[in-house]
Amino acid sequence: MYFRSLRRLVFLGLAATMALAATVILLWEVLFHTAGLVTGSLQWPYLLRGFSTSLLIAGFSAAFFWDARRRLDKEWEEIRQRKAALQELAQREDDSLGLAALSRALAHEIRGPLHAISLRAAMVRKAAQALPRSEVVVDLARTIEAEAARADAQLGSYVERAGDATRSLRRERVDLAGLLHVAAAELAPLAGARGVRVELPPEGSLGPVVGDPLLLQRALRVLVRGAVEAAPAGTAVGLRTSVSGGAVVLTLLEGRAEDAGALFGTAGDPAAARAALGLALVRDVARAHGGELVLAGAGTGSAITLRLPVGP
Amino acid sequence: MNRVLVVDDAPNSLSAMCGLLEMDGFDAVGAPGGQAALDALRAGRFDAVVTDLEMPGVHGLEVVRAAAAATVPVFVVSAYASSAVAARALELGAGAVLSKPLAYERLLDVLAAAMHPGRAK
Repeated sequence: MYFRSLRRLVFLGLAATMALAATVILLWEVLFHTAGLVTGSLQWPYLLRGFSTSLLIAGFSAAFFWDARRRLDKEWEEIRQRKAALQELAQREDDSLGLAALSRALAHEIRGPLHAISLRAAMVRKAAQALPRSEVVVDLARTIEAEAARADAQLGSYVERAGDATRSLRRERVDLAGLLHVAAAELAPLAGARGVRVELPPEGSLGPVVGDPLLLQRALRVLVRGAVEAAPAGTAVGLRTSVSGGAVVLTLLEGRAEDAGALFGTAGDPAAARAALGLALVRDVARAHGGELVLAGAGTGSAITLRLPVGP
Repeated sequence: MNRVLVVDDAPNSLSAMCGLLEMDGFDAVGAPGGQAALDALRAGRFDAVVTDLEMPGVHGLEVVRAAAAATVPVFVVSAYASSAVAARALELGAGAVLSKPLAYERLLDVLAAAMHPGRAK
């Protein structure tokens, strides 16, 4: 773009020089033939030829000059627009970094009181252990400690998400099926402990998608973990993939949950809040890639569908 | 009785930590900031130091440096320990960097390991 404009600028200079030269020649012709007219030595054919040649050169040069200038104006306008877009992007990055810093500072401020609450609960628990029939108090203290730890984990997730928001989205060719296999391998111990089978599409069964490998890997891990944690023991979590309408469609199926929300835990489940947050993360990742996350399947088994654009 | 210096600028956390350590048989001395901790280290003998990092005035890393220089086992408990800061604390001589909110038994484990290596879990 900039090189093209530079080249156009050189042409514009050449055109201006040619137009100037044509004007000088024209003036010279006028002077020469005026002198001939005065001295009586004017030759009309030469006069006509000189004028017509000069006018032709001047006309071409002027047309070339105006065309080059018009194109240059258009390109400069394009450059101005790109600069404005870059400035806007830089501003957004600044805002995002501000959000990340604010999130970290907020997490720090909240973790201080959480720390004090947790320690006080530990004090209550230890003090109560010395008393007769203290089980209720000890249980309550343990619950407070567990809730403090859970709130801390939530904070960590939020800070991590704020960090994700500040990262520039990378655009690479990503093997989605390969990432799924990695996520399933990481979660194999959890699936084994819960007695849940994870069914995957064969490796290499899908073309690449365009996306950020780190974010996609994290989203897939959240999806598979959520499904494994919500699936009843002895059942299977199925991952189906297909290509449709320029997008890779990943559908996660779990046959016995009553609705899609159940796939990611229900109210009262200790993992529910984390799962809801995870689902929000997957949705954000999908949107960042120009895709979407669809929850569906009430009554017929749960399904979560993730659509991502197919890679070139 | 093992003497532990606890450093934290949050009064509630400081008193709770000292109280818990005393319940477990330690002689816990509280310092409400980095400067107070440096003064305490100069004035007395301690078997271990447990310090926060982000404090007004003298930073916790200075406490870590001073304790390590005095060959006193030092442990960091912080809500804001980025990996870079944690690495720096370990480099300066911290025995462990623990996150707030702290699971108290985890601190007991590291204290036991530092003070009684043979009896550590």
